Amino acid sequence: MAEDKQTKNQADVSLVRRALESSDEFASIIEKYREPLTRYVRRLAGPNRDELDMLIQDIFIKVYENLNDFDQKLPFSSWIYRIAHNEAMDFHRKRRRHGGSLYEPRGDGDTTILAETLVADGDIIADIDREYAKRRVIKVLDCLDPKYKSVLVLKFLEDKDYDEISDILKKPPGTVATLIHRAKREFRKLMANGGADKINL
Amino acid sequence: MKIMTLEKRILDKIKQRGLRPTPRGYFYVRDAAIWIFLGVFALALSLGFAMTIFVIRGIDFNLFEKLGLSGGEKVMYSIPFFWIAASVAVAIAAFINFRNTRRGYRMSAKQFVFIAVLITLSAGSIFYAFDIAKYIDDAASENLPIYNLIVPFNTNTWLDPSHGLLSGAVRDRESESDFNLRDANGVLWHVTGKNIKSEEGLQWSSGERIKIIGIQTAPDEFRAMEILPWEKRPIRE
Repeated sequence: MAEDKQTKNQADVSLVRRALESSDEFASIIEKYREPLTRYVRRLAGPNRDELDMLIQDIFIKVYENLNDFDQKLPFSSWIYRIAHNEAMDFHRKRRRHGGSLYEPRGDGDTTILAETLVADGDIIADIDREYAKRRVIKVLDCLDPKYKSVLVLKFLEDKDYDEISDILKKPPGTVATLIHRAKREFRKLMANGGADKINL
Repeated sequence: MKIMTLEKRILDKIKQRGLRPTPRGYFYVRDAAIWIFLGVFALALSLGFAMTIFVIRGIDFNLFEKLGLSGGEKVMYSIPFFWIAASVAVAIAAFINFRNTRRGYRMSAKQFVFIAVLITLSAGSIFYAFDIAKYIDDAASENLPIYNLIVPFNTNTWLDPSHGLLSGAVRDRESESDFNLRDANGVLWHVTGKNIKSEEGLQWSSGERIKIIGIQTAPDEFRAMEILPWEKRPIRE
């Protein structure tokens, strides 16, 4: 597993070197990461189609401009996710400042997967009807503080381990573990209180 | 109409705007600056600790008694609030700065505090042992008027002969009870006394800095009742 990650990172390092030599080679990085980053940004900030397109372009341009800042001792994947995360959070803050909604609740495929993952976690909502719970989970997730939502998305949907989440969010691994624990607790509290219904999304 | 791929649109933007990756040197300089700041913060923190020891060890209960301070006032004047507050502010700045290093975020706040305390205690003790704290106190007392307002009972407190407090370096010593003393303002005092009280083992030979409690008897004459070491700390052999 660790070896697999190392091999993947070596491949990424090689892509970075080539992109630094020629901007055309940067296309390989875009090709490799466009889908995961698009998915992540959509899950995190919920932009509409046009906003998402602009956001992804801005992210890759920022990645290109900062290629020399990539520390080869860290996974490239974490580094590029970090940039995407920061841009998505900036977007989210700007939209909130301008009176936009926190998130456009859609219950799309991605969110449904997360909902199913969390519903399947017996520790969280053992006694709730699954289908009903799933709908509520989607709403509750949309109500969560972005810092909680981001760790849940990274852990359960992006399948990142604690070290990777630590590198992406620039927080100590212990803090990441605490955040995940709190996110689950917050989630459970909102579920139990019917918070999502009250919020009326 | 042919739809442009995301890759093409991004590469076109990069070319149209003439964008280039920021040079590696910029990031080297940025990282170096962060570490230099961190070094400065560590130095400041260690000096803050050295000053805290200096002030605490310099607490002069004889002076407190002479000034008739209450218990609460004694506690107030014994705690070096200025240096503690300055050290805390520097520690917070150092922590924020450290978090901006490449891998600083991986260290928890507890680990950071542990390492910062370790560095501060060891470097601060060395600074104190080499009298750097005393030098800073002297320099600040003489050159920073605000220091004398903020830090009570500093060197300047002992330049108040009309209230019976005098300090300076011994000159032209005839005997223990008859010598000259030059204070920090350059005034040469003739000091005399009978049965002068002092700590056991305290010597005041020429060149030695001392503090005196007594009475001013003339513009440049002082009768000593008690002589104290410059600092309230064990006298070195």
